[in-house]
Amino acid sequence: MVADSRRSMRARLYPVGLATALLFGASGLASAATCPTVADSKGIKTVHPQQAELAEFEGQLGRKLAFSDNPLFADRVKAGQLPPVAQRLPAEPMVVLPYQECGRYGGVLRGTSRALESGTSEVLSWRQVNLVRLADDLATIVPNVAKSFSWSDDRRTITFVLRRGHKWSNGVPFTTDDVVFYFDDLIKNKDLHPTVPGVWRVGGKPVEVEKVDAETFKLHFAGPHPGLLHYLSTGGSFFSPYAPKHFYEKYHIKYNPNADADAKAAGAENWVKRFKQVWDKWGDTETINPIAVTRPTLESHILESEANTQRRAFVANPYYFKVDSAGNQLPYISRQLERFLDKELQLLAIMNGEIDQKAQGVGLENYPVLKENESKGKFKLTMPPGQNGDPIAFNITHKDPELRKIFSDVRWRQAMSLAINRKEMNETLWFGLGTPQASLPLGVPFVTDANRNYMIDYDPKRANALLDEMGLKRGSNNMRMRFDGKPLTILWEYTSQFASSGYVQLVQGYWRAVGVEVNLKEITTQLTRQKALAGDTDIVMEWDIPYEPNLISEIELYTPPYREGSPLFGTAWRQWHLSKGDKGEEPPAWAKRLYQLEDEWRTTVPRSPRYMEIGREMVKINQDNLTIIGTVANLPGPTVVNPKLANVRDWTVQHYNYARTYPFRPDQWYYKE
Amino acid sequence: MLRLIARRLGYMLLTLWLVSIVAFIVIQLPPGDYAEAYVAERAQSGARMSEEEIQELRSHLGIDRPWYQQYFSWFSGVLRGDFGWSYEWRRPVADVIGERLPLTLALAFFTLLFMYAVSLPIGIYSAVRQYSVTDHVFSLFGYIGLATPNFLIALVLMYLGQQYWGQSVGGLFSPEFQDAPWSWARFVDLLAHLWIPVVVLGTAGTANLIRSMRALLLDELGKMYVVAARAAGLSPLRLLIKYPVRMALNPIVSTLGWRLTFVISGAPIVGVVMALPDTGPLFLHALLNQDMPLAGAMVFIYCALTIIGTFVSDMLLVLLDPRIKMS
Repeated sequence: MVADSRRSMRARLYPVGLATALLFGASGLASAATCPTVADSKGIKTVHPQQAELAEFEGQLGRKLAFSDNPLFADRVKAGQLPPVAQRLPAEPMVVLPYQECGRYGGVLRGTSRALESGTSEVLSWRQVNLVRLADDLATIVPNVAKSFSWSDDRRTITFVLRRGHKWSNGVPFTTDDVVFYFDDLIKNKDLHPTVPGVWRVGGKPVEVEKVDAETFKLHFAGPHPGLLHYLSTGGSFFSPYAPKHFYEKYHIKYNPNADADAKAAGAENWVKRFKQVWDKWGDTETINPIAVTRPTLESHILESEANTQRRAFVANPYYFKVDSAGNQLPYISRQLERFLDKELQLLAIMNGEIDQKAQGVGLENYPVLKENESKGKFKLTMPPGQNGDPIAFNITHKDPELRKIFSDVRWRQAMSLAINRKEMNETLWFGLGTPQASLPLGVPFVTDANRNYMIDYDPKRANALLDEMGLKRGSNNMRMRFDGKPLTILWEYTSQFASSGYVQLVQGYWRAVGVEVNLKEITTQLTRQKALAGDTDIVMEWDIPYEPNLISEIELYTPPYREGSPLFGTAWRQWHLSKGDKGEEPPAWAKRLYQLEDEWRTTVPRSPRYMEIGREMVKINQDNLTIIGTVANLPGPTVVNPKLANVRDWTVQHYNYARTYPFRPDQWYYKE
Repeated sequence: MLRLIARRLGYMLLTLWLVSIVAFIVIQLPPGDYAEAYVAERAQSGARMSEEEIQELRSHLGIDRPWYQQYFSWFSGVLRGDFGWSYEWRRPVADVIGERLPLTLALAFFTLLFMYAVSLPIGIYSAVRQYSVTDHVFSLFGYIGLATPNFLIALVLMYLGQQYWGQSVGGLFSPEFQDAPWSWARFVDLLAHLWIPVVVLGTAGTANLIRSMRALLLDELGKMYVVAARAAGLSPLRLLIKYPVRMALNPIVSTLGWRLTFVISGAPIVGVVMALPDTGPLFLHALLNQDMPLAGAMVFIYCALTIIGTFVSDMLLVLLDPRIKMS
């Protein structure tokens, strides 16, 4: 009804857009007059999907856009504490075409995390912004905080242009000085960062930032770095490369000679410790300190009160840089509330209708209970794909020479893969919702069905034949022995974070059936990591299957050791490669080839013909050697959303690498009633 | 007497110091450190941290130093009354604990109130009407209360609260009252949430108290002075309340000192299950994450309270019972 009456009003008021905007702005309803949307663009054509720059948009509209804002700010504007909206917005705001409708202001978006730094990335995504973002097709990179960007032909230099008149949440101008400050005084400061983070180094040399004017800056790299934008819009989307210089100056020794003394007065040993209390690359961490209430940000919502051990509360940023296509400043939703609850309680809270959107950590095992409760109407359940049945990797570079001999025989890995009954696993563990599949990068154009189905048949006969061929004879109890005649026993030290006990028990059964004894032992995640680093685990599972944007920006996820902080195998191989043979251990020929391809990939333009060739070859090498054994892919990740929330698009993926659910545009969400 | 107190105080300080070392070592015992726990938490949401970043975190927090150095810098702070900064919450430990103390105390107070209010009348009744049907019924419930794990009762009550009474899940306030200033409505909201943890936390203690009250009173009831008083024609109720109950209460009251720790520590498991904003879950998280400053401070405070509580009840006993020699 509301929508209907508004639509008819829109028709009537069309010629007097400005008056309508004022009228509705004042009454708390965002203006719906002449609101081009994704569903109905009213003839507006944009360069980037669903968003436009103001000049471009007004040009097509044939008139100036009048701005209005959340009534939440009205009192402060009237009292002179806040300038009116037209002065708060950048001179060049971004115009967002909402999915369905221009919304209305108000409401609280309620979410939950486990603790201050545990499972918080989804709520962070509700407000987070970066220079660029990923469009809904999960491939195109579009402007966000930056108005535009352009690469040099050799992809060594990228130029970003910021929005003229863009302001921090306290009204202070946001300029290239804040970017230069981030690079020269934070990232490249030896005290704060003994080593410059990997993404800002090419060929071992850190990035050089060059200020052109107040809105334009260039980043110069020592070599081509075509993966940068993909990093900034996926895995690195939480690490915005700018920081409010005017706010952090007083904590920094370079700008405040008394910073050390000030730090001591505040109870910290020196300025570095103090600085790390108030600033962190991971913007979420900063909000913990009480000082964060005054910390300016560009995000859609800012801290409303000090965070404590129970909750964090946010309120709309009066200086947010986006407007909808009718000129209403975003975000529509006035407040965000993040409560810290234990995992089981989160589920209860969802069923109770106390959570407005949640995907992170809901867990497929809760699918039946959620489905059962969905009919009560307190939440809508969607199932975007994004989880994958955890992969298994044998430690090819095992410390024990006998086990190394066995594991590094490719027939062993083939046999182990063929012994697994993936269909049964899918039915037993995941309600049959997944697809049995080999372990492969996801969403990449160079993976074929042949790759997906490689060595995933359930064929214990062939597995037995391969093991016999290897010479792993059966002993008196019909279980296989090692080459040295001792019983072959695999110790599977797993953590519930990466595999359920049901998972490991099923696989244990499959492998026992082909004569391989497996002992299970659950240990903590900390321990698995330490053991993996020491290289004396038999099986490692801690591999985040990369999506294409991750592969573009962090190709080392697909070459040994696959995960630096918690390696699958081959840490010494990489050492050998990096030290050009000085340190570590010489890798086999196939791994050497992978490293070669990795180096070339880093300088190759995504989706170019050479990119496709390298991708295909890397997939082939990894598959021929069965470096990682996959089980089931495309498992859905239950995602709940309040049915009253509008402008929520159907999600196509649910994964950390996309900052949780995607396409995700919470700044245009609003409550229908 | 003064010498005794001085000597006891000396021992107390020594014990506290030893406890601080043991606590420090025990907290460090599990494999890994806070940095590892942090990496694991990050990994849980899919975020990767490079080895360099982990090392930076370690050196920033100073947990890359040998344990005795860490201990020294921690304990010298404690001596000055400064418990340092919590790794996890990135705030001074005193702030973190302080935030949760008022509700912990409120919870403990109401729980104690509940325990005594329920158990004493029932205990007295059971003793007076020994082996009656009611006594057996109360005993049965008492044993069930003793035998059922707290967290299970918590889960059941919470499910009922959520499913049938439309209560918000977890915590002691509905979300809309969480940050509101104190008002009558907020107080009522608190009471509406408070009863579940109070019942859960009080159940085992209540069952326990009923049993001891019953046993103690039964001892007293058979004594000569009771028979004498009854023979003298004292009204039964007055006799009961004035003499045997008072005697039976003595041991129960003298154990009140022990409850000092309980008051501060909350109950970690129940606290976690119900997301109570008391110190219990805080303590558990600090231990799991090896957040040394916070966990250390809490162990230290618990121990200090236990030692002080024991000292106080010892002193009380000496004062009350001249048979205990002052040596």
